[in-house]
Amino acid sequence: MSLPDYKDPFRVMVLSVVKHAYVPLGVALHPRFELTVVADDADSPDWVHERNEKFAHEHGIAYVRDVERAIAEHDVQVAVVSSEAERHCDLSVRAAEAGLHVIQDKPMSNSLAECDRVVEAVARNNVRFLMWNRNFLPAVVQAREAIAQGQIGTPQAFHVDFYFAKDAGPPKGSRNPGQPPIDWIEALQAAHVTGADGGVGKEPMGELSIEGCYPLAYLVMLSGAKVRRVFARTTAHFHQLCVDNDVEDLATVTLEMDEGLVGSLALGRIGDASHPDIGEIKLHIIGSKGALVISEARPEIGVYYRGQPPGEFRNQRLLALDNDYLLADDFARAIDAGSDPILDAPTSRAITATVAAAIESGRTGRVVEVI
Amino acid sequence: MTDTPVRLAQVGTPDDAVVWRHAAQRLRGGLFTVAVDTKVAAAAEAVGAATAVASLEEALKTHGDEFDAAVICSSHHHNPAVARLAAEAGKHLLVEAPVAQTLAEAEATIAACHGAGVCFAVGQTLRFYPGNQTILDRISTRKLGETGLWRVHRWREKQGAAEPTLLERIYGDVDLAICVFGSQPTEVYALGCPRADQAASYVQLHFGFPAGGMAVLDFSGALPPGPGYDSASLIGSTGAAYADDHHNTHLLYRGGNPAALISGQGSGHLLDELQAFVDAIGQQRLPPVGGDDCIAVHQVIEAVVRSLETGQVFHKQGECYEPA
Repeated sequence: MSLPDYKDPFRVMVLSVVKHAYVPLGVALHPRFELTVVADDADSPDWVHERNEKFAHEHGIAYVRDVERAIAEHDVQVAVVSSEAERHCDLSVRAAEAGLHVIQDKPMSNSLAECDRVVEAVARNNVRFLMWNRNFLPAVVQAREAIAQGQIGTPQAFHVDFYFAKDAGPPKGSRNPGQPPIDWIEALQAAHVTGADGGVGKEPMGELSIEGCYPLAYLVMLSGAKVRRVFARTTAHFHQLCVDNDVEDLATVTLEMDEGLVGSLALGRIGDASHPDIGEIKLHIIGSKGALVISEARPEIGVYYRGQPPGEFRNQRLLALDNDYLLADDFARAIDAGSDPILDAPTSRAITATVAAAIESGRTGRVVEVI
Repeated sequence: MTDTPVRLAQVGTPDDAVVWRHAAQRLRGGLFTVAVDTKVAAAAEAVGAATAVASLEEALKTHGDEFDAAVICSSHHHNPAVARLAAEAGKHLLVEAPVAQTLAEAEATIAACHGAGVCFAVGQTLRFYPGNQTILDRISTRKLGETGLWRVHRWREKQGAAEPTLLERIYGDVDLAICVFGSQPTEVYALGCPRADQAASYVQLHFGFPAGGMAVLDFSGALPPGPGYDSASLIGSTGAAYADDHHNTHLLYRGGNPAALISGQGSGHLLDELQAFVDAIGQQRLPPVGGDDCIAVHQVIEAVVRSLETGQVFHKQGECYEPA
């Protein structure tokens, strides 16, 4: 057995950490990455500074309220971006322009023009870009291996169910006449304690934008194909927050891909009561010689006990942290070799374009070309 | 309700004679008295009928006073003609789905039943399967809130020359989706596999329903030999239901990776279906799956066919589906 080739760790700047601390923490699992500093813009709102400050304090690193100064003074090579969604791309572009490799939280952006800026900046500065994803979960890896080994023949259709059994505030229909609509950013700030704040930002986002990156990343990796056309149904079915902010919490998407591949995506934030675990997440893949049915959550372990807090997951995923480590490992290799990581900027942009087309299809009732 | 049992004629030999035999034995208020098929002995054995003849014409001519209703499970290519013959003779009808090849044929069959004043019911529709019964019960009792999403994967082994038609492949699930949402879809989009070698074996349907409802159903006939795979999930506003072979799978260890043993849904659905038909006749009420249901399914399937042909989304406008 050969030991890993130890090199100096990459010094990591956490470029805003208002949303998912699991991204920088996942990166830090890998010995090649060392959290060095937290940075953000000075004119960010107080709640942003508070969260950044807290994370920096917990990890014994500095918090600098000036992104460019932090880059100049802390000799960093990697930026991890987990800001409000509408700032993702701008922060990534600034990091790339400074020569930093970038790991970004999902979604890439709500704006394709912003995604294009990232793609261009990453290419021009010859840095690596990784969109955080779940493609190294063991079940997904197993699916990839089975397909690569030809066990189901030539893939024909890919279907992904991606349901999150989490509430997002009060149920649909709960707002009384005269009550104001629920404010998006206030609600998402409050959801931080449960981790259900993937859509935090000024601009409301539906589940396709917030979570669509994950299942679409599975599809892209497993099929190797681009999505060309979509037909979607979208609705705010569960939560008053989504009704008030005109975004979907339930969606289905028919996907038409390159090389005659077809597929579908069913996705929703279906509420706490609708599943005993975090939610049903499955892949159904049909090939010319067989088929695969994959439960993304497995392997898992069930733990039940008297007095168990209602918020505690009774079925715990095993090896979930392996995904984080393997993502970081993949990124380190990409930096070392100058190669593409598992979910690079152009692919992330393509996923965002698929989401945008699905949202448009849901609003118009028409088939929409992905651009 | 009368104490006189409803006397049934079985027309066509069912695929699974054992299941039919068990259902016939457990039926209350009804019994099979006549069996009709070219394989006379097998037909009689299947349902325990005392009389067996080779054709419906013969049954009507020589034993017409020995049965009140016909249960037709012959190939659907012949169903409309057989059904109309029985209806015109005053026999109530339970016809295995698909009732007809086309909407027009189905309408003619149902009109014949109405004209003769006999009960018309559709059989083998998936509604009576226990998993689906549970889901439909939870919908009707509002346990799951407003139905939002119905998702089905229905995969079968490759049949070769006996490959089912599109109609046969999707009829039961189109009916079930309509039943789940309580209405026809407002939008229909269908997609086949563009790959020429697999075009006949795969189709997926995407339906929109009123109030934001949606359904995605995919059908494959390309599995290797063996049992099929079925998965259905319903996402409601206050709960969800998951009926999935993946969850109902056992493992068989014989070296190497274990084989999967999948538990089915039993055979009680057939008894429930026959019982509902017999009860509808005895109580002179509409059967649970009748003519209107049949017409609704055929209308949607016509939209599916047009969507497959044109690549367009079809929207319901009045009684018709039109491209956007």
